[in-house]
Amino acid sequence: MAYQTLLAHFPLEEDVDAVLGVATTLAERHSAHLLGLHVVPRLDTVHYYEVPVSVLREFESHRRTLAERLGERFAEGTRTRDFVADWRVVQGDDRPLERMLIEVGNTTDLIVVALTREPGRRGSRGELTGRLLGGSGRPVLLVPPERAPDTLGTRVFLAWDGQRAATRALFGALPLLVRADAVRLQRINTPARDRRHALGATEQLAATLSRHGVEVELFHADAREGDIGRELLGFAVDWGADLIVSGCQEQGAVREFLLGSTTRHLLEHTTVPMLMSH
Amino acid sequence: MSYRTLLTGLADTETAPRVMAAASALANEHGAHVIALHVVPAGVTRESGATIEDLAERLREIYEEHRDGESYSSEWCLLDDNELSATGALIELGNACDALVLGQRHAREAGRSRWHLGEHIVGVTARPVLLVPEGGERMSFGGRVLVAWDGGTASTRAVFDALPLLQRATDVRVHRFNPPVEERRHVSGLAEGLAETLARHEVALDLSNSTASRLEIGEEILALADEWGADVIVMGCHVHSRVRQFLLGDTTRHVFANTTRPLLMGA
Repeated sequence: MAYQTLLAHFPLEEDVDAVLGVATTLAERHSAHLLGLHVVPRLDTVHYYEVPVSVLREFESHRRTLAERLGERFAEGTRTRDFVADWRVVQGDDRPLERMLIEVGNTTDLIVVALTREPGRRGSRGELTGRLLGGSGRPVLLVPPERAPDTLGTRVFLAWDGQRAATRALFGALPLLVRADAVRLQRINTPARDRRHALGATEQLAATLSRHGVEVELFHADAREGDIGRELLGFAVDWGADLIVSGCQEQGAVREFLLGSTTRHLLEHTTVPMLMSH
Repeated sequence: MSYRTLLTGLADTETAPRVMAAASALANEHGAHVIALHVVPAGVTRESGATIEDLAERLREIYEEHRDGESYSSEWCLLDDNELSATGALIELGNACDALVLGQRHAREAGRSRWHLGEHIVGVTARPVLLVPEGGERMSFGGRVLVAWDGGTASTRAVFDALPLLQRATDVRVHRFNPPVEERRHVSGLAEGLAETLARHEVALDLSNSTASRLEIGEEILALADEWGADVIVMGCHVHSRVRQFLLGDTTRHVFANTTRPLLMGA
């Protein structure tokens, strides 16, 4: 079981190193096809009349050089590597950027993006992260900017609450789990009935993973509602995780945008790459 | 890639035989372990004309009849603690398995029993659900698979969740509804991109497309399945609201109620 097609998104020069490092490591390990994507931002025509022509020209030339520069760096980073790499530039239209990213991402096995802080805050780059997580049909791997991409997925920390989002993330990470040295399945506030039942969903999950050749260590812990994110990160870092797999919880009626408090904490504070699904 | 753990929900004596037959076929093909779950209905003493004790006993017999002589491993799981409904238990335990196998009723037989497990579970569970309608147990899972794909989240998940099925199929057809045209903008070449990704997973497939209004898509999926002779249909399940779990989208509802072929659904 392997990822066969990876999509890596490159919006700006500043996160090329982190994203490219992780994407090439993964592509090599899985012999996957790596698709690099840049969406050229579109000028909002509504405001043309308010902006001096010189500024528009500058923006135009900036867009062109940015796309070229990113393409060069992608080519440089993949040239000598042992997998097929493809660079693709798509012209943005008046739809939000994440729509186009999701459309392309939905045809691949995994989407790799830079983790931008302030998830969900309006107008910030983190808004893109939040919307991407809430709308994508494929798992998303978020790479923190400070991350040195030497190892990824040798020690995998699974934060599992038995719910849909975390379950999706976990099974979306299977190609990584089967290659990991150690996998820790962490439950927080395990429901009492789960401990009592013959059903025991956690033990059952461990058995299911084991049939895929993945042996997990089970851990249970209790935490107050507001502390779960902090506790999870503490466990993961102390254990030496180099990948955290977690669900992305949404909150409230406006889906794709309001992230749950645990998800928000993880996204704001993690220094370990995270694989998420909603 | 294989389904290694299958959860079957056995709720009534009418659908249980076909659910177990389909699960047995899949388990043999994938080398899977089968968990047969029956949740004793809470708050009643009789169900479908039998006492709940008799029902549980009968379901267990059906499970054993199908399992005996087969080489796959399996377990019988009876849950009787009034704390979890059948729906709740299947969702909870389903999230710990690779796929669920459930019975599906045609519109003409629905209403005879209050057990419509499938539609309460698809769209809520995180794992793919194989729904087996009347006659569906005779279908071949390794044969012709029709995939209805619209580029959205639900159908994309269904496609990738169906990979173990697609890899064993003799023919796969991915049908794209409402492909991009001028007034329906999309990044170009998406269906071709999906086909390439699936080809890298060793799934060879044919692409086709058509335009249909939202209300016609369900009918068109079924017509296409008839015409092409599909053994299984793979599609996304659109749910209107996660909170009210039972509001299925028009397409999903139509296919759900009228299919005579097994459905593999993701959401």
